[in-house]
Amino acid sequence: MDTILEVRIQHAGYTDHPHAVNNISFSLKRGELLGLIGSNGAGKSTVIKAILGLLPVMSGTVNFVKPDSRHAYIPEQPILYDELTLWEHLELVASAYSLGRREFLDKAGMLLELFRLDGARHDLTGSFSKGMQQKSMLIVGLLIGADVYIIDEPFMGLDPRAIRDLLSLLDQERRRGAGVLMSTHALDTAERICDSLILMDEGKLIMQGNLQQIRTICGTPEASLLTCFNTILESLE
Amino acid sequence: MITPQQLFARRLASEWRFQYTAWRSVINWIVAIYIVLPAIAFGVYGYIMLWRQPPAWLGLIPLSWLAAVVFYFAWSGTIWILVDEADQLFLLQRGGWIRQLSGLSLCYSAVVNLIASLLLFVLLSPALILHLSWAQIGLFLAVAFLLRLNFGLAKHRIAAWGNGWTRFMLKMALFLALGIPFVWGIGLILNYMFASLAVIALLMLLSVVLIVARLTQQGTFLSDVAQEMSARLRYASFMLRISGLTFKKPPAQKRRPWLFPRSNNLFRERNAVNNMTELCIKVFLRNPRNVALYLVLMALCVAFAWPYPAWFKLIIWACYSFLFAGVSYFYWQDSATANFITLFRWKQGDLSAAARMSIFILMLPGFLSVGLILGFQALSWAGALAVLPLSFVLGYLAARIVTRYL
Repeated sequence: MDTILEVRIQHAGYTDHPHAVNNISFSLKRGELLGLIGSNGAGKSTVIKAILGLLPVMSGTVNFVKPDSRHAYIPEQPILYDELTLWEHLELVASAYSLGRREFLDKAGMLLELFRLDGARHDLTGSFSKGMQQKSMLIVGLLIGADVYIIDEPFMGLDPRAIRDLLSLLDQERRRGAGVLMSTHALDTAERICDSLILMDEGKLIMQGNLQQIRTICGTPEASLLTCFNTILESLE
Repeated sequence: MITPQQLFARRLASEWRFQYTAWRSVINWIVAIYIVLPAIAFGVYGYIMLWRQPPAWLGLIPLSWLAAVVFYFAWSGTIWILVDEADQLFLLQRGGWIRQLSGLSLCYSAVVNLIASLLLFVLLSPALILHLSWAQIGLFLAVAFLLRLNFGLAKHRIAAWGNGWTRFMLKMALFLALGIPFVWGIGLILNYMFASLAVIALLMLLSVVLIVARLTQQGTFLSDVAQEMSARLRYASFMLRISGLTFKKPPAQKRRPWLFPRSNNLFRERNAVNNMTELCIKVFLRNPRNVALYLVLMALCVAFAWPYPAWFKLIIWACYSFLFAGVSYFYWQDSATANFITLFRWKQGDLSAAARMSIFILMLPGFLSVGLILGFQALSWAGALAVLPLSFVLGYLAARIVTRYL
């Protein structure tokens, strides 16, 4: 598989906490789903912000290998305009990426139907529930057909059907060649869907590999990701 | 153990700390020394001069205009119910506490509204004294204060009833049904002491009814929290936005927008520049507070330039192009720097072009309307006609300059 994203962070963080994350290196390949796992405050969101160039302190390199690559970021907290309708958000994104009109109408229609927001396309997003706003953010992210998807806690606030639909869409995108970097707390889902995993704790990368490799290192060949994760954390204490 | 009174005192202190922090974030000592203090000194001097040598135009202001100002002031009355979202965890189960907190908050609201009414009447008194006696002004003040308090209470009640069109229509009906008779009838009522006292007694009775209803109202906690948030951010939000801080707004209640309800396009060609401009215009127009502020700015611009000679009036109007462009720039910035926009990669050229177009389109209606009024007042129809093409040229230039240098 070709590499589409290379991340080498020496340290990154905020003005008052410049070493929030240290020595994080990994790469994302075409069609790969890479899970970023860690407890609250482990530094998962900080790594994502460092990749997106949103941190005031960043020492290291982030390389989207394809020169004209598109990447979509879907944040944990929905950030939408309260005064715009869902359709107006989609139009705005389509124009930012110069999507053709036909392509936009087809894709937007398909995504709205899939996430069952077709009837709410002309509603103000400020009136949406948290789950609907989260779905809207996913539609916005999926609309542009990105090469790299960076998704922060995608399952928060989603109903079971929406989770299933999202996973099937991500599968489709991966088959197309897109790579997905996903931070999540949902270890049971991550265990099932991720090709490889990065385990973080206190701003550091503590383990990297696929589930089988992690199990082997932990010495528990049949254990779940949750058990492995807890074993690793306990061994560090 | 904490009592409801102590809890109220803490909430009040926190409210004032919040307002102080919000204003302090914008009015630093440089702004205070170079803008705020000179403006206050200039205002006080101007006010004293209004008393010492009343200008001729003061006598030209009819009582109905002053009544309209007073009515709008009363209409904007707010009450504070110092409840917090987290109260649903503990306090909501203790009805007595919530009632005491509400009662103390209503007393506080009454005091704040009384002080605000006194200040307004101090400001208006140089004009009011040309139409009314001091006793009549006192009665007028009592009516204005009670009306403001009642409006605050009534709006709180209406907000808890419904949303969207129902609430809007109720508010508009109330505004028109009371506003028109008030503006035209208050002068007549103030001429008769008995009628004035009867109106005051009626308003007092209504206040008592609304306060009792408010204290016994059930099931309005979430609406109270949302309104408390709006009241808290009423003056501070603008300041916070200027200083770059963001805050979580209470959730919007209306589902479909009134303007462009089917996400209608403003431009036929769908490209980044047009869509960003469209975004800015829609965000501006769909927020009634933005539109109200814009209208107030227009009224102030007309009022400020009104007394000056024709040639000077037109110079002031030309300078307004930068004022309107500057204000429109803030609206543009508000839309274009939102978090949602930062999720995507935009071409710098597209953003600049969209900024120029948005600022020009947003400023033009206000700048043009003010120009037409002042042009007509200065040079009759010829002035108004001359203003038309000039507005476009000056507006275009001001939008370009402001986009380039701000």
